[in-house]
Amino acid sequence: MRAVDGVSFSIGEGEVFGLVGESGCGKTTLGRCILRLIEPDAGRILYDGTDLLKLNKRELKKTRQHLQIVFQNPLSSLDARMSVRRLVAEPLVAHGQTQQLGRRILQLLELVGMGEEFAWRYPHELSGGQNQRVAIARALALDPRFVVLDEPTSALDVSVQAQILNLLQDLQDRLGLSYLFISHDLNVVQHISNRVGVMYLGKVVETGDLHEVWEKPLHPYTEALLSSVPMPDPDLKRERKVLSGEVPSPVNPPPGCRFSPRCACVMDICKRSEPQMTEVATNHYVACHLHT
Amino acid sequence: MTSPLLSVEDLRVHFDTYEGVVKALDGVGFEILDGEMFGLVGETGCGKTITALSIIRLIPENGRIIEGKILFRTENLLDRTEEEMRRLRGGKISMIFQDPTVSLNPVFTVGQQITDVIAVHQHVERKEAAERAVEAFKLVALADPEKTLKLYPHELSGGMQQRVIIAMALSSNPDMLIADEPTSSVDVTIQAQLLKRLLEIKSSENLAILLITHNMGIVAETCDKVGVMYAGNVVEMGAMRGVLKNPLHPYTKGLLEAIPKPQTRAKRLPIVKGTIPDLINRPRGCAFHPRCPYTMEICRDEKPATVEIDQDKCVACHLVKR
Repeated sequence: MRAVDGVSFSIGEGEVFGLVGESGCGKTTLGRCILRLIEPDAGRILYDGTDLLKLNKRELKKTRQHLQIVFQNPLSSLDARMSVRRLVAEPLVAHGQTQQLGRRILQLLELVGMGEEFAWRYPHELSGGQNQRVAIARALALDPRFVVLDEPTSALDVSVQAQILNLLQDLQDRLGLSYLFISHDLNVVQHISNRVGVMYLGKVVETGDLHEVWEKPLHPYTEALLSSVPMPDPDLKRERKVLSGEVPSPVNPPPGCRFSPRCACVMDICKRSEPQMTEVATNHYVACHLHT
Repeated sequence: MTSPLLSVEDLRVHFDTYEGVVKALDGVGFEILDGEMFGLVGETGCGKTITALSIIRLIPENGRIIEGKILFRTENLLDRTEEEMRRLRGGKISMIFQDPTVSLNPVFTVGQQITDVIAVHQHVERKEAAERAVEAFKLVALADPEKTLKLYPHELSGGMQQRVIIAMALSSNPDMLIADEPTSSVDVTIQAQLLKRLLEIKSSENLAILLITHNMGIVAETCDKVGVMYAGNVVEMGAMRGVLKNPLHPYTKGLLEAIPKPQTRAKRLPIVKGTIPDLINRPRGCAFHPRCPYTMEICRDEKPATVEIDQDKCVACHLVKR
């Protein structure tokens, strides 16, 4: 099964790259591959010019400090038997950075808006939002430059989500971080991202500046995705492009363009040959025979 | 003025737990008319699911309905026997839930499952039930109904499973469907398909739907009326457009402002400070007052009564006068 099939894109320093797509598109697998939590079968992952896939265990461990990840469900990603203090200290301990450990822990908690009193609590005593703050503090412990955020607010209520999004934006500003922000929630992605990539069934079908892609989507799937998102404004008049059919299985992708069975604009060539990513406007790439 | 299909009045539900009595619903009231889509919206712990379960009397064992009326047409459902309720559930009132894998038995084909439901509720022979099952599948726009009947749940996608659930719920031609986050577990493009179909069915069958959701976007696109819940109370309720465009309750305002939208791009979102209250030791007065930016003295002492603003809006807030 080709979960991620020939994906290429880049993320600049201090940039937030939003990766969107529905279940099975491969976005979570991609996020984990970047950190080598899942070992890719082929390709290159260039971090600051170095191919992470060519590093040995020792070199990888050193470089990993710069690349961190926050997962969707804090309750399953945080060890229930570890106090907040131990959870935040863990990355520091793992990398032998134990000088002034106590102070560093409090600094990190403060960074994510949590007071000293939280240090001694356990995940089950905290709310979803508080747990996610702990997960973020953990990710920041080693002063990373790049953080993969895999659906960081999907399990949270709207009002808690707003707090966490604000926090992520503040941290990005203060610390100059780069984010790969993976989400199926397009409203959240458009709020926080500078650039965006759209995935479908293991392929990236469109990338570009957020503003560009949102206002002038090129790929029919991007159009359908954007038009499917319910908006809380009853006055918003939109043309709904409701897709027909089901998402095919990634085990047996359709021949040619993977989106062809559901595409309203499908042509003959789409069923025969896979479209390649082409730059159609400045920085705006799309893989679609309509545009090549 | 047509009489409502469903009228919930002053519903209070408590749960007995080791830590104390959780006062989950503290006087919930609203009405749903025939053929109307009513959205009950709120965040975790507000009591929207418990409200739905109370209507069909399926609240967990440690729960007690201590006060209130649930009038279905003219009858108070709280006076009915369990036997009568069993006939009602899946009969005149059907309910569907978020996760189809929980509602579908993995060891039986979907055809067997829906045929069972039809045979029991409509008192027909299995052969007749099987034919009605095909019709039910056509109603929810499932491709190839005869073939789909022979499949097991795991052979269907999430969206298709949810259509099966909806078909089962609608097979008895109910007057009302209670849908608890019916699209939360499917992708956004599938969600758009399901909601579109649900609206078409609502129209063609004059079906009333109580839609429980945390998603204001879904409310805007599907609901006629909406009720906003907070800590076991309906704090604001009315015609959907009025509530979403002109929210009166500070919580409703806060909730709508916290949703990321094109206008908030790259800015900080306004937040509702604090967290949901302890429902065992409920705050005195208005349950929202500890988090409200406009709290006054009276808010700490007196729980605000629900005030009717006009025919289309009610709100429970001391800031809003009749």
